[in-house]
Amino acid sequence: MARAIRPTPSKPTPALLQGEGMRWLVFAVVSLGVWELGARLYNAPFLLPTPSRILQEFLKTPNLVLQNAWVTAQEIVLGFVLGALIAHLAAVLLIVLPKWLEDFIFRLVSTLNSIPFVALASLVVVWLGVNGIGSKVAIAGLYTFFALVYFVHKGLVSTDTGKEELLTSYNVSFAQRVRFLKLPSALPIIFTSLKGGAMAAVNGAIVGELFGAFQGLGFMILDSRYVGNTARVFLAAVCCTLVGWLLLGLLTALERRWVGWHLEMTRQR
Amino acid sequence: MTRLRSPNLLPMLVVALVVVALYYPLMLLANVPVAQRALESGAALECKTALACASQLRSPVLPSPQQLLQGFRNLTFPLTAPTSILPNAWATAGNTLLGLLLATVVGFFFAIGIVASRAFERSLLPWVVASQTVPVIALAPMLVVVLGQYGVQGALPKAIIAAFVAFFPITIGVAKGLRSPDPLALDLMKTYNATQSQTYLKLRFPASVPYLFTAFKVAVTAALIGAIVAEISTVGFQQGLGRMLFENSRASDVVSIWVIMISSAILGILLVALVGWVERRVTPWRR
Repeated sequence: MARAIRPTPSKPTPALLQGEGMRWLVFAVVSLGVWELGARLYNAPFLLPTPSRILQEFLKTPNLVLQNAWVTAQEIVLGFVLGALIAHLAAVLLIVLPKWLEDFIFRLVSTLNSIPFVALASLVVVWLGVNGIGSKVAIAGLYTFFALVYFVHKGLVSTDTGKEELLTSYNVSFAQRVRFLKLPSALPIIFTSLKGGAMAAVNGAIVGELFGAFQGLGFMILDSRYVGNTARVFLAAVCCTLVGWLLLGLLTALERRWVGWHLEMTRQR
Repeated sequence: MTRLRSPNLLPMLVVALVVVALYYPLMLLANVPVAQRALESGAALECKTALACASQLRSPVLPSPQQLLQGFRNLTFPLTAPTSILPNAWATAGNTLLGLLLATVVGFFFAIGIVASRAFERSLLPWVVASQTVPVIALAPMLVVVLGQYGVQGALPKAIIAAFVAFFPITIGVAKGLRSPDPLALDLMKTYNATQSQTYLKLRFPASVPYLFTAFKVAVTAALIGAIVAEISTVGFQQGLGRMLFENSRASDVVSIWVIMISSAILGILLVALVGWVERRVTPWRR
């Protein structure tokens, strides 16, 4: 049934490493070259280290950096998965509730959405402790949850009325309605917001670590900043970005697989 | 943002009351174990029982309403003191709105590029997306120093950091808006032999306005977070909620952190409401 509702893809998606991969590579090489050149001309390694200097910094203590990156990656992924799961559950729960309660909670959530969660981070660290990854997972999850819940709910609600009525005439259960109509038609919005959520998770984990940690990339940033080792701060930032890219890449691959039809449709215009 | 039906005031009030009523026992539940431990460790407290102590801990898990009220009073009066909330919130709001303005300019630039040229979209969009995973928080101090060397000082560095966080939702929203006109309307422009710039001015820009405001509502929050983060990491002589947060978090003044958090939440809500108000003035036909 799910098959029948989705339009079939108009043409197969292009192979990854031919067109797009090359473009990425060229762009990466060019921008790294510009950075290297610019940083050398600017000649203030304390403020803007060159990429080669950052690489050297990595090669000094590769194990330690990877260890820190691994800690932060765990926090990001755990927080992202937890936050996303809870956001989806909450969104489904919201549409079960009576209309006035749904309206109220939705209002509450969109209000909470406008709260800067940086402030909460310091409290979460107080609650869950500086040690371990618990407090950072919680902050990353919180960031993800609020980046997602609004859009997932919106996606679940804005299904086509005709299709809704068709399913009503089939007398489907609520679970079937969610499984066969609401989730598939919300998938494009869900994927777009999942990408936003992934970025939020990265930021959340780092913010959490900046407020108190003994390991991880955020800790590395603080630590290196105190001793004035800018190259190491940049190294931590680069690691952080790479972790975020991995997560984004994974999500993009899944998006191509599951909602490729939608991407094709929006590119037509 | 989808328009909600007019709020059902009575149920909302009831729920709000229930929340307030639940808060007090929840606060006691959260604080009593801490108070118990403090009493057992023989700390010199004025209260006798754990239950009595729970509402006056120095670093409570949840602050009691009295403490919050007291904290608000301490941080609000005198109104214009450099350590009170009002001038700091004002400074943060200024940084945020300046950042939003910058983000709008950059966002429109990218959005037009994305819509106008496939090559631009293909080569740049992945990088725009990827740029958002760069932890600006980490690089903010260096960024401020670099900008300072070129005479960029005061609010502008913070606004730039806020803009870096906020331009992404605006880019995506405006790009979506520029693509939103009916294909028939686009074909009509073609039959009128309209130039590209005419198509943009007369059709695509007006069509993107609703999307722009939806994006603004997300972006203004992002900009506020960016501004606060920038203030945290560029502690100087300038004011801002971020600086207050940093100082009180250094002093482990938990109640003050709560007060600042609530204040920044109120600021966020006000800013979103401001965007909503402007939206209603600019697009009256959407009611």
